[in-house]
Amino acid sequence: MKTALDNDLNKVHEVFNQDHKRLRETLMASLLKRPKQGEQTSRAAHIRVFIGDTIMKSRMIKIAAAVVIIIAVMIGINQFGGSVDGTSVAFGEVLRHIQNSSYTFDLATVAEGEVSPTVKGMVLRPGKLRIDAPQVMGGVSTIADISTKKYLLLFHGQKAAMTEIPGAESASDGGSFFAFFMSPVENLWNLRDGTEKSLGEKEIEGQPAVGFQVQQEGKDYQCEIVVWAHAETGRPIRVEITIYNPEDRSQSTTMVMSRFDLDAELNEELFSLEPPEGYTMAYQKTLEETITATESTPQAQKIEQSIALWSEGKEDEAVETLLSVDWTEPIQFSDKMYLFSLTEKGYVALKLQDQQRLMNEISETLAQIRGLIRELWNVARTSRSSRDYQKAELCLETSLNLGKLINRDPKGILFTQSVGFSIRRKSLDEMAVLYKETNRQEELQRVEKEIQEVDAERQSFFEGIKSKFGGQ
Amino acid sequence: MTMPSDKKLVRAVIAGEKSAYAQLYDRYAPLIRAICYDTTRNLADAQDLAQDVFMRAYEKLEHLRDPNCFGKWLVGIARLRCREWWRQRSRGRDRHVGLNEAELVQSNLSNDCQVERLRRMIIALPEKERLALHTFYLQGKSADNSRRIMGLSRSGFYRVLDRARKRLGELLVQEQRGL
Repeated sequence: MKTALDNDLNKVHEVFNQDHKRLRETLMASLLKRPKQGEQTSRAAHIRVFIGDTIMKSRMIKIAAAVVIIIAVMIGINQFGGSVDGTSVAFGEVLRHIQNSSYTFDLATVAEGEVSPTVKGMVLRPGKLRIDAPQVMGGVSTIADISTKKYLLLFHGQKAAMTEIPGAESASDGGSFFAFFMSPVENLWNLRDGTEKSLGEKEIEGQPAVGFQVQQEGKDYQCEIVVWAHAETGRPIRVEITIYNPEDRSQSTTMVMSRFDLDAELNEELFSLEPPEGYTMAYQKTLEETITATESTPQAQKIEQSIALWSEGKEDEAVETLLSVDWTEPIQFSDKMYLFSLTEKGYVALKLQDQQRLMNEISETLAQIRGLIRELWNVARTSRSSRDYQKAELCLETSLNLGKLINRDPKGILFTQSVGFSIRRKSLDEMAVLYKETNRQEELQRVEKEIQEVDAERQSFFEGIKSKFGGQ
Repeated sequence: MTMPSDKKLVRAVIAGEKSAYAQLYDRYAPLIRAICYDTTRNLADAQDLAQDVFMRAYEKLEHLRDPNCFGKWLVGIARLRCREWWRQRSRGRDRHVGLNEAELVQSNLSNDCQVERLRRMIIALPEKERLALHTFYLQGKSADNSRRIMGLSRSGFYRVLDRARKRLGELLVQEQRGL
């Protein structure tokens, strides 16, 4: 039976569901780019919780690695044609169809029982390949030249391009799949020994089909390719490529190509290896190449000084310095104050090790700012309780202004933007409490309006991230 | 529809399915916030601290030996993190003059006096009893879930929960009498 105490205890606990959705979003956004375990041990690592880290690099690399696997398979498929000697005539016929046409197909990947969204593949003779995955991370396209084995990855959501995967040289440590694709392509798909096995006839996608199976085995991989082709025309209907982990065959990845259109007319421009205008080449520049020698303005210098004082443990001085900033004066930071000066595009263009270095520095600066801002809020609360409302207001205005400064450039690094929103929102909440207490209705209304604006801005920011990075 | 077990979700996260972690978060975040609140006595700080707990847990998930014990393990991380927070806070305590506990407890929370009183009293309970209340009221009032998180038998859990409620009742009566 429900008692009054039970009801009250329910109410006591309801409050812990408050803001749950937003907090979950922030946490999940921060997990998008979680650093590897042990990579960061400083308290800077923990700032990621607060800021909702949404940097893109590792997700891009992960997708790029997956896409390159697909490219390698496709390159392999296109090597079929030169190796039909000794195989059955029917099999050779199927391979000739694949080899001699420009065509399109659907490609689905199944790994550990999970089916990835189907992507569209296009092959243009001679030897060009394009795969479009509009549903992945705001749209990803891969373009490859099969003969030179060069490729270009386009991340349309971020307007970023890649021609190599950072860390790929050590990718062979990552498992058999990479080892498989690091072998020379010609060796992988050497079918000249005539060992392909007939799978007989079967109805596939409503059509009479004949099937062939080819096994490949190397030191570090095992692979099975099944080709189903129309029983009369020899045109491919479905090609299934399964790569096994030789140490544990229950671990496998299967790529299924289907819905072939062998009469497709394809525009050659779609296969250009030059990045489209407005796309940033990722992982190309060093930090030194990116920054120029510029000076911070006096008010910006005060902010820098305040952060430095905080990091030295001179907390009272740090607060006083920050409170002395004249926010009506121009505030411009030198390039070396990365948190305020670097854009997301600039960040994406950096080489991977510089991105990591920079991210550590920015995280450290954000940790200092977070501490400083919290101290400002504490001082504001203390001032409020001792009825020094002017001081309380100054502290909250200062923290709000710092939040606005972080959000000033919408092209700024994404995860710092997230911090800016949090600081602004919390500062405004505290201001609302202050104005309620002092019965300043006009200011209260202004703050409440601003809270709505920040919420809308933040929501649109997170929606933007979702559209760029996908909803996961 | 049955909910996926903690074990299944933990394994999915380790296999790279981050969305599974969102489900674990939904399941345990309110409880972790409540535990953190007992230390911070301020909702915003409790929310931040809970986020930190979830991030730590995520980073160490591969070290979790028994995925069935995720809840218990997470609560352990939360308690550890709360102790760290308290130590950091103690070092800077002299800077927070003017904010007594009652004020802190009241900030950001409900205006209902009775509920506020109760919240203050929960904080005054022994840790085990607090945890029993939080797990029970934030885990769908399931004694099974709660006892697993606390590592108690079913009857053992009910004993602690009853003790907590009884003590709260006594504290309320004492307060009403102005003691």
